[in-house]
This record gives sequence, structure tokens and C-alpha cells, in this order.
Amino acid sequence: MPKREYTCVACPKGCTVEVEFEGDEIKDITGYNCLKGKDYVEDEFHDPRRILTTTVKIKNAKYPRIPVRTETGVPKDELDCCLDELTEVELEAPVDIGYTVIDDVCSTGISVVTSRSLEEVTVSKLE
Amino acid sequence: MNSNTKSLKKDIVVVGGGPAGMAAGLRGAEEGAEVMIVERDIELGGILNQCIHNGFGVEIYGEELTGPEYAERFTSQIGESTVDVRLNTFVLSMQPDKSMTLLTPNGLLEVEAEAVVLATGARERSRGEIRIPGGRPSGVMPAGTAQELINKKGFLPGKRVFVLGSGDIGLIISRRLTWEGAEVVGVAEIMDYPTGLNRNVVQCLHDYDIPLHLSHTVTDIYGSDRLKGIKLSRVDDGMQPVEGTGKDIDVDLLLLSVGLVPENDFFKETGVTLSEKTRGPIVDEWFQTDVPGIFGCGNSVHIEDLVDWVTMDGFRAGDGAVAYAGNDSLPNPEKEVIAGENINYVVPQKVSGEDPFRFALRVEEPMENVDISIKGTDISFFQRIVTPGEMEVEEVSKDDLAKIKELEEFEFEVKGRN
Amino acid sequence: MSDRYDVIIVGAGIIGTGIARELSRYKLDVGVLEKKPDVGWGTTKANSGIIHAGYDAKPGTVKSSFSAPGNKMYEKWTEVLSVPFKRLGSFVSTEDESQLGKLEKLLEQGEENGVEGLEIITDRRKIEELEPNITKGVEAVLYAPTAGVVAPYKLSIALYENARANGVDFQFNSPVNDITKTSEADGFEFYVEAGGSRYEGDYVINAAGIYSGKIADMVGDDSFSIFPARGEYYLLDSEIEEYVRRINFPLPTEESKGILVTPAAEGSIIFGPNHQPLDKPSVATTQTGLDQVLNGAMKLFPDIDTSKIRTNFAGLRAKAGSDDFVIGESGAARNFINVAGIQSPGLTAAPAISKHVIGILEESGLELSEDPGFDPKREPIPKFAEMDTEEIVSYTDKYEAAKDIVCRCEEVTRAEIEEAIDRGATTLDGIKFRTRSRMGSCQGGFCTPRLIEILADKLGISPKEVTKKGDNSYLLAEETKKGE
Repeated sequence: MPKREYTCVACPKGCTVEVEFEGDEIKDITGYNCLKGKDYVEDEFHDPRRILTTTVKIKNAKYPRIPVRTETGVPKDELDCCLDELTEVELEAPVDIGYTVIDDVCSTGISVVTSRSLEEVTVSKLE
Repeated sequence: MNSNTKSLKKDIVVVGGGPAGMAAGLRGAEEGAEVMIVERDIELGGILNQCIHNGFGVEIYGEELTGPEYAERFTSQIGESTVDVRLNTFVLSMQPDKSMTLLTPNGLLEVEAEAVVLATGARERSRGEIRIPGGRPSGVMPAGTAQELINKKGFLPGKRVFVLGSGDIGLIISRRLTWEGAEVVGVAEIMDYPTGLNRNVVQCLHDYDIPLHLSHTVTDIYGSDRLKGIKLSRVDDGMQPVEGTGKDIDVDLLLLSVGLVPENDFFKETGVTLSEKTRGPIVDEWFQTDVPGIFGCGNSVHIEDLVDWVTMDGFRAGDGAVAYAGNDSLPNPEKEVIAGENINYVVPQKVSGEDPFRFALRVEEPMENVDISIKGTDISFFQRIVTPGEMEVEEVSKDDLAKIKELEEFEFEVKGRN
Repeated sequence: MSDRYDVIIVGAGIIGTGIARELSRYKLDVGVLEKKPDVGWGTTKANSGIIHAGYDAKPGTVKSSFSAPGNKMYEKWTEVLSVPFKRLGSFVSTEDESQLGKLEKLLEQGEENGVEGLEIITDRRKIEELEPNITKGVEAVLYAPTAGVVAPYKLSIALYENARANGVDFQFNSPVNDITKTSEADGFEFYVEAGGSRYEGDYVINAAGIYSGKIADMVGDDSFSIFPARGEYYLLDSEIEEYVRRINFPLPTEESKGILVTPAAEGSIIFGPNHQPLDKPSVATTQTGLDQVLNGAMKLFPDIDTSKIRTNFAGLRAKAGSDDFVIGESGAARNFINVAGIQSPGLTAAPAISKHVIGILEESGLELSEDPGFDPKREPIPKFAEMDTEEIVSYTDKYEAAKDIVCRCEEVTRAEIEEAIDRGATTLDGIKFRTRSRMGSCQGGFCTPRLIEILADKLGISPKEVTKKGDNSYLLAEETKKGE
């Protein structure tokens, strides 16, 4: 039966947890030392998600980039797609914190929002 | 004094508008003090503005905010407060009597303060400081500088990258570079364990198959104009490179994440006693130094791992500064706090024993199932795992203090169970 | 711009800029060809910065004839050019009383070379008065009060600025790849090919440092070769500059004067150099070499706080086979003057050499007529960090950019950085040597992104085109998010 190893991140200990599986189904989990760890590894096996934090271009602001984030974790496999979609975006200041940059990134149903506000300035240094 | 120089009086001047300074300033203003925050950058927030990843605020907000989001919670509150914020302003000199000269966009300004909070943060250790030999090409820089270039200025400083140091900054920049299309070929750590959070090892390195070389360091730098490569060598138990283990790796960017050092210049200038361990000032439970009315907080006191603790310390220092400026005497910190068994350092380094206090400590060695306790007492805090990479923060309560009134010094120790 | 010069100088180090500035006193067309984008980037920028008293050189050598005289010229030279110079005095120390004889020999040699004020001190109290933190074991020192320290890179920058102000042309990024003798009919002596251009000149001065052997080869002069020898250094934080007061040498060996410990002219402390002959020029430092340097320094100052080490670097000595300076008209080509093999004490000798070369040119027929417009004075870039309140008020009133501190560690304002660029800095290193930004405790961690912006802005180039030190030393690979 195929096996996969995970390093648990539920606490600093970092247990190595081994999952035996068949298709999408977990057959056995070993190596965890607490229930938190078991839950974490089950989630990682079935639906690993990550919050994406990056930047997008912005015009007329004091910086040429503004930080953005996905509101919740997106499927790990969709990260590259999300990054590609965000490369195409260009905002224009002023922008508020929490402004929706893309409301359904890569058809994940998850939106990408700005994580700061940037006021409008007349000359941007690096443009 | 020149007639062109203006002067002002304030109850509290906070130097530095990062998370520590913002918390101290905000608390001061909430308590009714006249507060000025002096910030040399073009905006408040400090290094949070370039830390665009999430993970900030779990301890105090129960949320995983990004750095800029965390900063904006404070900047918006400060905007609505009475705090006099001076951006683009540089402290040129500071006296032990808490008078200072500022260089502002409108010229020089003399300020006299009742109390000063030095929330000046930290700087990154440089290549020269860790003495890596080799050429002097471009393409070798501290990870934080790269972070600023990528996240604020929109530039990638290299395409094929090696990272020295597995602290959180080194791990997070590795993922960030990967997301921006650079290839991170490896991360080296001189210790035999990663010094950053385990979660970051997994989510920043494992996720992208970036190898982590434990017990390794960079021992040579190649290239005369632009970086061409590095030599990676294994180190022995004494952290000395082992001859013959060197391996050349072609990269065009070497990022250094090899530790932070408190920015302690103004502590030195005002005659504050520094700790040899932390390189920040020796402080009491109110974060007051041994120069009355001069306080520190955040990374200028010791290098913290969570911004949440920085904020808490800032509030505490703000409270202390308000009390000092208002002539409410702070209790005399006559009890010494000692770093005992398996402890590298404890902050504060002295306390009055009258007020409950939070303490922060770093252990020397990773251990499991330990008690952090005050020697000779039954005050103790259980921890499943302690590592030097993670600061332990606990609070000694009023009830605890009542039990140990008689002690002249508090010696903390970390001991395994069994 | 004319591509025809009376005198072409190859190399803009301390010797090339020194001669250029000396020639700028006369009504002459002088051109300097430099392979780097700035002055003083070879041997000049990476050495100890010592102005030696002049006792080391063996009497009768070319070195000895220029050392003590050069030393005496330093006050005037640095004053009129506004370059930091401090006559700190030097020590040669020994912990072994039986070595006293060696000190006495140095003293005699010095006196023969015309060095003044030499003295052997064996009184421990007096030694400590002059150098409080030197190792307790020192039994005797040769004290040379006339030795000093200068910032050599600043000196070459000042010479360059003054020469340029007095009409000398400088062509940077112009490595000389060929020199041809012309025929009588051309009316001038040489074609010099450099950086894609061709220059015509009546005289060529070979001041190409470690490459001077190669340049001489181009006119068929194989009378000398240059054997580069690397010297490695540690530089400490200026925070502890008070710890060392004088220039401290151990007893010299055949190879070199040994690992010295000295204050630098602009603050901070220098350890070094060691001595490593190389087949191929390289200024990379090595662990072995740096260990030698540290060990050497610790012998003189065993308690110095080595946690204050800020950086390491290496420089190359341009050592001629004869181990002496090679100064004079080439035997192989008329009007081709070698000023080569200028290793230590070349910096000391530089002002005397510069004057001497004018004499050589005159002897070989160059007509020298003084230019009444010559202005010997060069003003420095104002230094904010050293200003008092009054000065700050007037400086900041005059320049808005003076209220903007870019380098936090050394307190360098944007006004100074912009002025450095106006005066010829085109790279981060160029700004560093002129203003000290990136020389402080963070070594550029904080200010580098801003310096890139300011350079790009002032030079009208993209931030991606900004370099640390020319060539391929770019700092930014590309914009994120497919920016332009």
C-alpha cells in the first residue's frame, strides 16, 4: 500500500507522521502524538490549503506594489494559477485595505484582497 | 542654541514607529499623556510593512493577519488619537536628561521629554560581521533587504538563490522568492536544527522541495562583479567548517538571515547599561532601563519572535512611561532576575517583586516535557517542547509574588521532568 | 571633446590622478584612461592608508628616495585638497629585548633616509601613555612621530576632482587594449586604443598599477614584470576607534612590514595585511589569510573586541621583480614613461613621485608653461555627521535634501549622496567611498534600496541598470509581476 510522510506543524515538535492510503482514502496513520496532529495530517492529506500572500502592481502610490492575500487558504495545487492571475492585475491608488482584487481567484470561490491601504500620490519614485 | 531652532516639550517621546513604538505611543495617549512618535521612515509600521506574509496577531487577536494588516490596526488608531506623529524625522542626539535634537522635514527641532521610549528595533547582521571570506560581488545581501526590494519596491534581486540561515526570515523569504519565480536552490543552517518555526520549515521549504542543509554554512563567495556561486561546507560540533566537505553551488544571489542585533545606539548615547547576552538594555518589569525615565521595548531590548509580544511589551513600556512622566513612582527593581539552568537569557533582568510581570526567556538547548520554574519555589510552568528558536513567555502573578516575597533574587531554570 | 592629448595617463589610481593633477598646473591637454568606472579602484582603495615615516626602505633604493620626501609633502597636499590626514605616529614593537638591535638598525636606516624624530622607547610607562591598550609584553618600540594615516580612496577622488576642475579629461570604462608607436610623419608619438575609442598622444604615462607590466609590453618594453601580492584586511566598527591610537607594526620580515593594527583616517580600526604572492590577480579574501591577519593583530592587541569586526577585504600590491619602484622613461619607447611597481610605500611616495614625473617629462622635451588659471584648492563634500548645530541649520536651509538622512549608521544625507553623484560617482561603491554610506554598522542593509533609487533618479537610468561597482555588478535582476 502506498505511504506518504508528513511533518506535523501543529506544534514545534514536528512529529513525522506516516499515512498509508489507497486512492483518496486513508488506511492508517502512525507517528502522531496528539489528536491535533492527527487532524492536521488528515487535512493535509485530503485538502491541503495555503494562504497566498503576494503583491500586485499599483499606479499612483508611494510604492509600485501593494500587498494582497487570499481571504482563506486556497488549494495548494492552485497557488501557481493564483499567482499567474495576480500578475495581470494593476490597481490604481487610492486603495483601501480589504479591497477585493479578484473575487473568485482561479475558480476557487475565494477572493483576493489588499492587505493595506495606499493613498494616492502624484509622483511615484520608481515609475 | 540657534534662533532658527524650534523647541517643544512632551510628556513622552517614543523613538521608532514600528509595532513596539506604536503600542507604547498609543497606550501613552490613551492614558492622557502628550506623546510624540518619531519615525525616520515615510510611514509608521516599521518592518511590518514589508512582512506581507500572514501569521501575525494569533496571540492577541486570535487571527492570522499579514504584517501590513497588523500595522494598519495600529496606524488607524493612532490617526484618531492625540499622538503627534513625526515622519521622515531622525533623532540626531539624545541626552540622559531626555532632551534631544531632531532633524525634521522642517529643520531642526529640540524636544524635552519627561520620559523616552526607545523602540528602535533591530538591524540584520551583515556578511562582514559573520566573516565569510571570498570575493565582494553584488548579489550578497541580508534577507530583510531583499524582502523590502521585493515586497515594497517590486524588484527581484536575483533569480537563482541560496539562503544562509533557517530563522523565520530566511524561510519566509525562500517561499516568497519561489512565488515570484526565482529558484531557491537551498537553505543552510549552521546549527543541527532549524532555528525558525517548524510550520515555516514545512510550508516554506518542504512545499517547494527546497533542501535544508543542517550543520552547514557558507565558507566562500565567488565572483568579482556579480555573485557567481558559493561554497557550502559542513561544520563540526564546534560549528567550525570541516575541511574537504566544501561543495560549490552556482547562484546569483546569496541572502543572509543570520540574526538580528538590537539597535542600541541611543541606549549607549544616554549611558544605559546593556546586557551582554541580548545586546539591548537591562530593563525592569516596566521596561525601564537604569537611566531613570528611559524605557525600551520590542526588538531594541531583545530579539522577539512574535509581534504580539512586541506589542504587549510596548503597552507595558507605555504604561511605565506614563507613570514616570506623571511622577507616579515606579517600584524600585531591587530583585535580580537570573538566567539559570538551560536558560540563555531572561527579560526583564530585574524586577521590584511588587507588581505581577511577564517574563520572556530563551533556552539554550531543545528539550521536551520541561518545567520552567523559579528556583527554590513551587512556581513553575509546564512546556511540552522548548527550543532556542522559540521564546517562552509566561506571567508571574500577584499570588505567585506573595509566596516569594522573601527571595532576594529570582533564578529561573528549565528542567526536564523525570 | 578632443581625442588628441599632449599627455595620456593610463590608470587613475593614486599615481595616475596625482600626476594628472600635477600636470594640470600647466597649459597642456591631458587625458586619463581608466578601465574602471571610477578613480582609485585598484591598489589605491584597498591598502592600509599609511603614510610611512620612511625608515623601512633600504638606503639607495628608488623607494627610499621618495618615501621621506613624500611624507613631508602630506600636510600641504591633503590640506589644499581637503582630505582627512592624521599624523598619528607609528610604533614598531618587540616583546623580545634581544631584538632591540633590529629596532636600532631601523632607526639608523631611517636617519640615513632623512626621517626626523625617530626614537626608541623602552620605558613601559611611556609606551602605555602613547598606546594604552598595546600588549603588556612589549619591551621596546621604535617610535616614528611623522607617520600618518590618510583615506587613500578619498585622496585619489580629490586629486581627480581637482585635476578635472583644472582641465584634465578622464575617460572611464576605458581599458587600454593597444598602444602603437606612430611614424615620424604623424606629428605625435602614440595611438592608444581604449574602450572602443582611439586617442592620440605625445607622451604616455604608464600608471596602470598591477597591469603596468602588460601596458609596457604594448610598446615592447619587457624590462620589468609585475607580480601581484595580495594583502587581506579586517575593518572594525568606528565605535571602538579610540582603542588604538597609533600605527602599530610588529618587527618587519623580508617580505613585508607585517600585520599592522592602526586607526583608519576616517575612524574605525584596520588589521592587516598579510602577504600572498598570486599567479592571477584576485581580491577575494580567504579563511586562511584572514586567520593570519587576526592572529597577527591579536599579538599586538590581545584584548581587542573582535566582535566589532565589520568587514574584510583584500588589495593587491603591484610588486615589480626588482622589488623596487620602476620610474622613468622606457628604454624601449621614447616618450613612454613607466611609473610602475608602486607597492608600499607608494602612497607615501605619491606626491614626490608626481612632482618627479613632471621633471622627467620636461627633460624629455615636453614644454611646460604654467596655467595662470590653475586653482590648487578642492572643496570637500560637506559632511553632515560632523556639523555642529549652526552648520546644520545653514546646510539644511540651503539644501532641502539635507533634511533627509539616507544612511542611518553614518548619518549621510541625500544632499551628500546627490553631490557625490554630481561629482562623478556612478555606482554604489562610488557613493560609498565619497560619503561613507554603507560603511557603517549595518553595511548597507537599510540604505541600499534607497541608494539604488537615488542613483537611478540622478543618472536617468532604470534601477535595474544601477550597479555596485560597474561591469556586471547589477543589484536588481528584474521587476516582479512582469513589470516593465
